[in-house]
This record gives sequence, C-alpha cells and structure tokens, in this order.
Amino acid sequence: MRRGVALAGVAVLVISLGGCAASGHAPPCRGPGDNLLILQAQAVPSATLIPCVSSLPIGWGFGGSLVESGRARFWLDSDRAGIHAVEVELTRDCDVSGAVEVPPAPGEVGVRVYQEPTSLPPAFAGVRSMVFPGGCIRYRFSFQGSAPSTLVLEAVGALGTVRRDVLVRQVERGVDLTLCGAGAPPCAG
Amino acid sequence: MDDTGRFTPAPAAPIEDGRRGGAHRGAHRRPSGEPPPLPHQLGRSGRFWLLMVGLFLAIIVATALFRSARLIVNTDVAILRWFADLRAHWLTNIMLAVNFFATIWVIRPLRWGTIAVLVAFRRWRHLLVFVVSIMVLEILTYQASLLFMLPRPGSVTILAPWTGYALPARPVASLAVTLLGMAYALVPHGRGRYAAKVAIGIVLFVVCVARMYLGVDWPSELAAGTTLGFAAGLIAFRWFVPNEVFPVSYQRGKAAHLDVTGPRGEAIVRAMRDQLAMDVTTIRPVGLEGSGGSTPLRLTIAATDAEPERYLFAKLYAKSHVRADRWYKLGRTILYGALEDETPFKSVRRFVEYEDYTLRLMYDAGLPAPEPFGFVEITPEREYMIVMQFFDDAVEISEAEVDDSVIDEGLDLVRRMWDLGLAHRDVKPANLMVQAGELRLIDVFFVQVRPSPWRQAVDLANMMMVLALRTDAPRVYEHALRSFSRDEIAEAFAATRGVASPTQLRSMMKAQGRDLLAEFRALAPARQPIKIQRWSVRRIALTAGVLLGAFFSLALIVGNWTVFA
Repeated sequence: MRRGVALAGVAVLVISLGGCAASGHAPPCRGPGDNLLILQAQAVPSATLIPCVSSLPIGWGFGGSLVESGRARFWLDSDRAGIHAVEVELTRDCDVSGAVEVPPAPGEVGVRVYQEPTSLPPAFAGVRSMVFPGGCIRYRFSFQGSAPSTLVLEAVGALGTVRRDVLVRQVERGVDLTLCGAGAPPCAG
Repeated sequence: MDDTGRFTPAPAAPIEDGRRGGAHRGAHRRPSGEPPPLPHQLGRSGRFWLLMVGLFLAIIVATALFRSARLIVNTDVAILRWFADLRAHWLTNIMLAVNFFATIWVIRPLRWGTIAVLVAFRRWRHLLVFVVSIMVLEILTYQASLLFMLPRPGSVTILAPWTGYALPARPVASLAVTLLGMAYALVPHGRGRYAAKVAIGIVLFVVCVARMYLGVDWPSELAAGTTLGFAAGLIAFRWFVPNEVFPVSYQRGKAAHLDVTGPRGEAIVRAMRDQLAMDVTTIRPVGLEGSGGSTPLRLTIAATDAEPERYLFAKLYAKSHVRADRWYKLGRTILYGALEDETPFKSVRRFVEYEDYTLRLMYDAGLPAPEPFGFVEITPEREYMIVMQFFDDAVEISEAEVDDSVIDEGLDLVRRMWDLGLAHRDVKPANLMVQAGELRLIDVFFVQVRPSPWRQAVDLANMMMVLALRTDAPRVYEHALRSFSRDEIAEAFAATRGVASPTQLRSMMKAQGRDLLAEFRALAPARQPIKIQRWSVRRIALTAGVLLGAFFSLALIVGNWTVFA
C-alpha cells in the first residue's frame, strides 16, 4: 500500500515535471552573459548578433526554447495573442525571396529587415526577418483569432539583439572560456 | 555445481573450538557479531553504481553551489583540449561514426526492437518497466538540463551535432538506459547478462571518448549522463522485476530461481548444519516449472548413526516473494473484494513462519502432508528456507494411476479438512502426489484456518475435478457421495467458476477438451451460482487508486511519447 502511494506520488511528480517542459527564462539583452544567450551563440557560431528579450510588456511571457546545433529558437506567449504567439529563430541564413524589404526599426542597427505577411486578421500571421553578417533572425508571428495585429509592435519592441563580440567578452570574463565562433580568438581543434 | 545441475558442497571443516560436541549432536547458536550464513551485500555492480550516483550528486551540488568555482570547468576544458590536440581527419571520421551510436537512429530501433521481442514473448511486466524507466529517465534528464542550463563546451570547436543544454549528457543517458534495459529484459540472468553489462560499459566508454574528442559534451556531464542512465535502469529492473520472481528465460521449465550455487549454496549448507544440525551433501533444484513463489530444492542429508542418507524437501524464500504475494493479494482484492483474508505479509520472516505453522498444523492433524523440520535463516530478514519431508518416488497425480483408493483418499482429505476447519486453497495436480499408491498433499502455504464456506466448497470441487482428470466425472461423483451430501457437492460446483480453479487445472482440462465443471454440475442437484463479489470502501478505494495509477501511467506514456520514441 505504501509502495503504491509512493509510486502514485512519483507518477504525479513525473507528469508534473513533464508539464513544465517549457520552463526557463527569456534571454535578457542586458546584464552578464545568460546561458540561453550563450547556447544560442554556440548553435550558430557564425552569427554576429544573438536574439534576446529587452523587456516583456504586460500580458507577455516567455514560452520556452529549443536550441540545437545550427538552429536556436525561443518563443513568447501572450494573454491576447495566444500561446506561442511569437517564435524567434536564429539560423546561419534564411530565404527572404518572397518577402519585402522594409526600413529597420531604431534599435536594429546593421541589419536588413524583410517582412512577409502570411495571413491577415482576424488570424494574423507573418514573418519578420533580419539578415546580418553570419546569421539571420526571424520573428514568426502567429496570433489567435481575435488578437489585434498591432500586438506585433509590442512584440517587436520587446525583442532585441546582443552583439556577439560583447557576449564573447562577457563569457571570457565570467568563466574564462572562449565562446568559439565569430568575434572570438581561434579555438582548439 | 556438477554436470547434473546439482550443487555439491566442499567437505565440512572440522569444528575446532568445541562449540559443538560433534557433527549432528546439536545445533550451533550464532554468537553476537558472527555473520549470518549469507551476509547481505550489495552486488558489485550495485556498489559501483551507488558510488557513481554519489559522484553525480556531488557534481550536481558542485555545479549548483560553486558555479563560479573553476575547478570542474578547468578540468573539463583541459581534458577537452587534450582531445582536441589529437584531432586528425581520419580520427574525426571514426569518432563521428562512433558517436552515431548515441543518436536516435540507433537508439530508437533498439527500443522498438526490444519492445517487439517483449511483446512476442508476452513479457508484459518487463515491457512496462522498460518503457517507464526510459520515459522517467528522459523526463528527468530533460528537466535537469532546464534546471542547470549549462551551455555546451567552450574553448574547443564542436564537431558534432547537438541539442539542448549540456547537463546531463542526454544522448548518453538515453543510450545507457536503453542498453541496460535490453540486458535486463532480454538476456537471462547469469554469465550472459554479466557479459552484456561489460559490453555495455565498453560501448558507453567508447561513445563518451568520441563525444569528448568531438567537443560536444563536457566530461563531467558525460559521467553524469552515463550514471543516470545506468542507475535508472538498474533501480527499475532490480526493484520491479527482480530476477528471482520474474526471470528472463527462453526455455520452458528452465526458469531461473534463486541461484543455489556459489555463496548461497555454501550458506544453505552452513545454515542447515548450524541451525538444524544436518549435513547437506547436495542441493538440487526440483519442480521449478510448477513453482511460482519460491525456489524448491531437494537436499541430500548425509547419513548419521541414527539414520541413513535421505532426501529432504526445502523451499527458499526471499523478499521478492513477499512483494509478489503483495501484488497477488492486491489483484484479488480488486477482483473479488474481501472474500477472504487478503492482508499481505509484512516480511519474508512472517511469510516463512506462516508456512511452517500450516505445515505443522496439517501434519499434527494427521493429514498426508510432509513432516516439518522447521526453517533456517540464510540472510536475516531477507532470505529463509523452510525444510520438510521429501516424498521419495512420488509422482504428480496427473501422471499416476488413479484408482478407487486414490479417489477415496482425495475426497476423504477434503472431508477431514472441512471437519478441522481448514482449506488448502490451492488444490491442483502439482500439489497432489501419489506415493506407493497413496495420496500426498504438498505446498500448504495457502492453507487457511477457519476459511470462508465458499473456499471450502471450492476445495471440494477442485479436488473432484483433479481426480476426474485421470478417471471420469460419474465415477468420482459416486465416490464423493460416500463422504458428502448432494447439497454439499451442488454447493461446491455452484461456488466454483473461472479463476477459482488453479491455472494448471484449467489448462489440463482444456488440453483434454473436457468441461468437467459442466459434467459435475449436470450430475449434482441444480443450484444457483454463489455470489463471490464483496464490495467495501477499501475495495472501491483500492480500485480507484489502481485505475488512477493506470491513468497516470497512460498519460505519462501518451504525453511523453515523442520523448520516448
């Protein structure tokens, strides 16, 4: 009986843990080198800019992340635009052939910006691509039915980038490691 | 162990301290501080992995508390740089090939292949433990990676693909739990499994070396991943499917029970000598195929001045048997409610004490049960062995000639148990022996004093069906009328249906193509079936708990299927 209760407890715990699969925190644009920022930089060693979150407006929250070699993603949830409303993706390059180039926002220095609406309201969806030396950052918007498309401005305002060379120096100072890739001294091997 | 499968112990050492007056004169009391016959020891692999789990926990604590401390990082970086200095094109290709073993393209086929084999051999419990251990490991390692958020190695160029954070090394943990699960679920206990575990250790070591060479994992996280994977598999299989109760075997009748060679064989000899003052010369497993709950043995006892060499029968019980009994009773409670006493035994000592009590009760009552000789302690609170008379040259009733005398003895046996207020509760061919034309009753573990009338009635029905297996129903029915009334026989067959009869008895009737239950019911007066379902708050709560557990398990499997597959 006691074993049964213990097993049930473990099952509940494991399932509860499974439900927290998207736990973690957004990569901040300010402060010392964040581990998610570092991992993103490791995923795309050529990228000179790394996506981050400057400040989350009310109603927005960090959803989760999935980082692998060659590709890093994290996403934001919104109480109005829905779960997984914006996904931020970093890759080495991206295809912008179907998109229209637009002027960069004030904080987007040294990048070429492209936009491609894929679905108009009431269920807004679109892609904003920022191409820069060694990488490409894409914001994929996918809002739920009733969400206004003006939430795109809120999301874009919340997101930003960190220069890789800044991150390289932070890692060097923090843990005495070289963050291999662009803007770093040559690594072993 | 000789080539006949018997264990032959070394000659007994002479008694030097004069504690015993001489062999067979009396038992030897174990003084305080002297170890028992078989001291409880964690296995070699158990000790090793316990050490590794400790190491892993130390790494976790060090990483969590002293992340800024650079000892671990510096050590890891030094190792990775050493490997990076070895890099050459041809060696990199080899290491990439080795690293392929830790990818889903290898791990998934291994998992699905194992599942297919376990389904084919209907090894459902092993299958469940295999799947759940993998899922728990995958979820825990994933959550640990999110908790610690450790980036990939720095200062060296990473040459292989990777996913997610570095702590613990999830691909290696996945490979470890999968390979270990395969060893425990597919390979029979013994040298084969030991060799498999050694091979797994080599494979994991080589994979870890490859991943360090490729700079994809930190050395300390590889150690953590390997340890977690191995520990998850070991704990799950040793706890939920211990080999003594759920052996892996591909041959009928050769199921491995407790190994009675080596240290355990020596311990049995010593326990018999010290505790019962008997010298055992050989130990031979017997009737393993008919034994689900213990390890049955035939012991050869050396001749003494008073008696010639003789055989004794013994049954070895371990803690795993208590666990199996607990699950069995839980199942019965859910299926029938409080129809009988389903209180589980708290310990293996209580387990064996109860059988010793029922054996003495039956023997003292003059029933044809084996003479009891008590029980011996092999490992305190973990392993005991009950010893009783061995019926020389006895054969199972299903293989013996069943004449009128045997039929009468069988029916008289039930009548006497009824009169004494007893029920055997496991009347089946394997427990009824014929020795020189006389019926013997063995395996009295399930005997109950003051049982329910239903259970007594079932004993009668099962006995009549066993006797009819080698004869016919009308003949047995005619003999039964000498000891039982028509109403009593009608009650017996109104009480008996489905699982009330032991599996062996049902299988034999099926093999013969006979529905003895229907034949006897046709002979006896008509009677409404006796209700055997008993409802109570406890049964409802237990059933709800089990259903809830099953639901959670299913939710776990469905919700994490992608993690697993």
